[in-house]
Amino acid sequence: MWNSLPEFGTGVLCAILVAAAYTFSVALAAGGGRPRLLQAARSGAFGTIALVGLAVLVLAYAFVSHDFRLDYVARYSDRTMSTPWLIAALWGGQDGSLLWWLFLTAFFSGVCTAWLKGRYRDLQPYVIATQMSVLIFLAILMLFAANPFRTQIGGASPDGAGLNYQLRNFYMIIHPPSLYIGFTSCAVPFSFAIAALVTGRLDNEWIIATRKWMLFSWLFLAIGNALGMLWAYEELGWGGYWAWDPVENAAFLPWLTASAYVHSTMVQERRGMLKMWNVILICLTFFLTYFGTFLTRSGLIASVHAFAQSSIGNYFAVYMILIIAVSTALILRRADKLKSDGVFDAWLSREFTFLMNNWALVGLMVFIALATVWPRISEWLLNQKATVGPTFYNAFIPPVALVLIFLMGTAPLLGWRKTSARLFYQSFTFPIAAMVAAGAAHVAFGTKLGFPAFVVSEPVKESALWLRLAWLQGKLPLVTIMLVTYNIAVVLQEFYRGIAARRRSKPESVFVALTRLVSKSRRRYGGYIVHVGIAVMFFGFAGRAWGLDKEANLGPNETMTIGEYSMTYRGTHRDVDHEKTAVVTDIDVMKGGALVGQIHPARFIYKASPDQPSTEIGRFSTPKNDLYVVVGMINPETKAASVQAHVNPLVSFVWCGVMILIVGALVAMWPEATHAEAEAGAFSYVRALGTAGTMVMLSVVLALAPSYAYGQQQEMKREGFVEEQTPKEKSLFAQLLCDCGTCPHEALSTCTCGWAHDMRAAIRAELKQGKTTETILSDYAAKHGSDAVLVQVDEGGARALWAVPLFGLALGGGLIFRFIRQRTRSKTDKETEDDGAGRDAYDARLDDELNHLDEDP
Amino acid sequence: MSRERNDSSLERGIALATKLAPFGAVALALGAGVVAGPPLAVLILTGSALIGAIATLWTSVRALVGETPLAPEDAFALGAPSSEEEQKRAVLRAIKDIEFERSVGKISEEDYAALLGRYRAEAKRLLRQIDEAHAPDRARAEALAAKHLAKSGDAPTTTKKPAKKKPSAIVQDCPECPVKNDGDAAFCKGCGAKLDAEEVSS
Repeated sequence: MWNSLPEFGTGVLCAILVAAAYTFSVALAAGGGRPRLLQAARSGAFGTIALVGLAVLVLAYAFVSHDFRLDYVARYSDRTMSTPWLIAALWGGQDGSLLWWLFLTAFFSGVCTAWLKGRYRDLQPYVIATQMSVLIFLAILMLFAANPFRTQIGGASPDGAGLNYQLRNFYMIIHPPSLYIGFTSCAVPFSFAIAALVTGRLDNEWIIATRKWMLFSWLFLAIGNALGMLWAYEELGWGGYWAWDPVENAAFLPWLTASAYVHSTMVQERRGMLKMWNVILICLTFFLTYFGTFLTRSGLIASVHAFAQSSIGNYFAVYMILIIAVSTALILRRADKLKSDGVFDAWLSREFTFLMNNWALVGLMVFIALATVWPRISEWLLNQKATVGPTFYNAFIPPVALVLIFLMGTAPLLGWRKTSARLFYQSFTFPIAAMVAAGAAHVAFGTKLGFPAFVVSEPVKESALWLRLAWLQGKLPLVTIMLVTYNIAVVLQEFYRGIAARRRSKPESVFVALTRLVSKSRRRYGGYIVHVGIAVMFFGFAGRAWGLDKEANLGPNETMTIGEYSMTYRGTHRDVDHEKTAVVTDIDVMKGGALVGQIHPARFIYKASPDQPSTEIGRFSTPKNDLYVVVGMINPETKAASVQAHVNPLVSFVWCGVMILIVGALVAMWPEATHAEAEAGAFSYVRALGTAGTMVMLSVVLALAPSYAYGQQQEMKREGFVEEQTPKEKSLFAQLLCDCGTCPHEALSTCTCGWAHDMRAAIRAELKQGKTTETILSDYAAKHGSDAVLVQVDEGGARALWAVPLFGLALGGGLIFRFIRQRTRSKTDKETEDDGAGRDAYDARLDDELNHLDEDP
Repeated sequence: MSRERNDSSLERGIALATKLAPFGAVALALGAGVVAGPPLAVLILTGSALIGAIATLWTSVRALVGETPLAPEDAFALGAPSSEEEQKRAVLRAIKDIEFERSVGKISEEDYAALLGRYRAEAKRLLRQIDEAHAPDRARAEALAAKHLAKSGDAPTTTKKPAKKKPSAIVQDCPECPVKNDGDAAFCKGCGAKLDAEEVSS
């Protein structure tokens, strides 16, 4: 009915470009404090945003009216899809997801512009201008490289190809949007930073304006990453939740810098230090959000997530260079204003621990970023194809992360400026005692409970580097448990001391004192709760060390045991619905001889793609561990099934930690019920609504588990064997990548396909024949290409992979040391201090305001 | 002048419409969705978005060429905390924080005293700045109040004269609309109402 819809859609994209450019220039012109122009710019911003909404709606209309003239609609929908899936298909492919990105960016500029009404009038024009510049970039990108309104060359097809079945699941609806929310909302703090740089108003003003926005982005990045973990755990079916895939890393990097920022911003607020550093962190975070998209979209790095290769990588590259150039130029221009006001008083101070925390977070970021792009660096500089896999990350990242966990516990114990030795001992006694007690208990009882304090970690190779790393890894469980206890003890002590202090001054019940305490300093206690969440997550991560993996081929009524569980395979049944046939297995789970439950891992054969059956995992969860079962090939005649079983200890604590983290972040962000915010708090409501909504979604996700897992299967003929992976096999399989040609190059240890299954059996046989790991690795590389074996980081130029970040960390540490030495106050230095003698009328007012500051409205 | 008056009532109409229209559009779309299915619902939303875009851009251009009166929030940032105000809040928070840290025994007495002194000095500096920034407004408000009191015959005899200012620095408020005008203007540039130039220069 609407003949020119494609042209109209493209026209709207043009209009977005024009309107954003208009608003950009008017906003810049309003910079001199011309209120009339500012008003025009604000309206212009809203108009631009309405146009973006219009573009999304036009595309949505094309989807719901099955307008298959549009290439994008034809590729990602068909006539059988119901309306919710049609709407979800909006971000199912590259062009649409970019439009969705544009929409969310515009949405946040809109919320920000509305929130700005009447505030930060000097910053406002530049904030709007910066946001419009982002929209301009995205509009150009969409018009010239990724236009979702592009028509099919051969005209409209009678029906579309339909949304990929792998994307038709619950996580697909919520995982990308929540990450996108985190990514796109980073544009708001960035625009404030740029506005502060342009206007030269670099004191606390913009910091105060941005801190909650940043916390918002931080929270959604955390939720997005957590959903990604859940997705991997529930969908990919290899038994783990984080595979250090380039795209996972890309989403993790901005979270690290955002975490660094939410800490260092406090140093600037309190002490007027680290101004330059804060600006850099904001710009870096924004840059990394685009870097992540660039990685996903450009096809630069191979990944499970990667979209089809396209030219948009070039646009992103140019834009990233532009971000760096503009930010650097502005920072250099304002370098004199970005000098610190404050000075360090002592090493034992919160400032110092925050600096160290930033050092570790940014160090981690560099570590991961370098490893993520290493395949390309290796190709350019060393002329060698290389793949970096989980083995590398799992060996190097946990030690650095544990240093961070230690700092996370220590910082709350120290006061600002300096902590006297006496107070230091007072604060540290309890947490250290708790930590030592936990360590001792772990060593004494761990083995009995099935969680030994020291594990045997098989070195990947018999080289000096790997032997050392393996030694270190064997000790990590104990260290993790101790540090987790330390952190929780610190937070408990903080709460206890806060409540005790309140009850000393006022007669309150413990509960009342607790609620008042938290509501009076939300950011502090919200932050502590986040710390607990992260500590609990690490407790869950530690479980990895005690995991068991087993493969078996079971006939009906055969039993296999793994750890404390024994599973009896009862057979299969079929469920048929309108889109698929499900072959569901029934497996009885027994523990200590008693039946504790039944799980039903399955294989789904979709009518649309019968040659690519998917696997659904079966999961039996207890707080202690998850029994995680995937069924591969099922023989239609004998009903024999190949079963991969994993016992994953403590995994539930990871999800539990995520929930605690969200609660903590919500407490920290909850709008302060001041009069001004309650009245003009459009943003506070959006934030509260958004986060509450996400909470609900996340709980639904957790409740809906287990869901579908997808993997490609091939014919498998063997029957009746049970193989347990020895640590040596495990570490070797993790080094080799599956070369079946259908899966995205997963490690042999995690790939569920039949090719990997056969290859594992073959390698096991080779190991039994007495072949060394080195020979197997080199044989495999010779047969399947050098990038089928993970990069050998203990030889040649690949050493840079860990040497450069470690050197960087050392260098950073040295710089911090020098910085503090330089800026430590000499005894004779004086600052403007109120000596108390000159009490004037302002003192009375100040006392009055202080008394009323915390009054409940 | 009547055209301008019409404009300002038109402005109010637009403001009201922009507040209500989204709800109307969503309600209409929902209704259409129930009756005629999702495509029509999306189409109605599309149409509303288009109208919304045109309306806001039109407002923007009108504001740009000066046809609309300035919104009071934009003109004076009424009710919004100034940056000094926000900074003061942060400093007050910091004072509360160190008081708290002392109460839980995290900083020693001498450190507390030193820190407190510094933050108090900063807070007082900000209070002073805020006062200075408000001084002209306060003077004008006092002048207006005094004048009003004098008119109604209740003027206290000890009324202080308002702070003296140079006439060139004076702006006068329009009695009809919230636009600021130059001190010597005879008519309001926002709505055209007659201004009493002597009123404020007294």
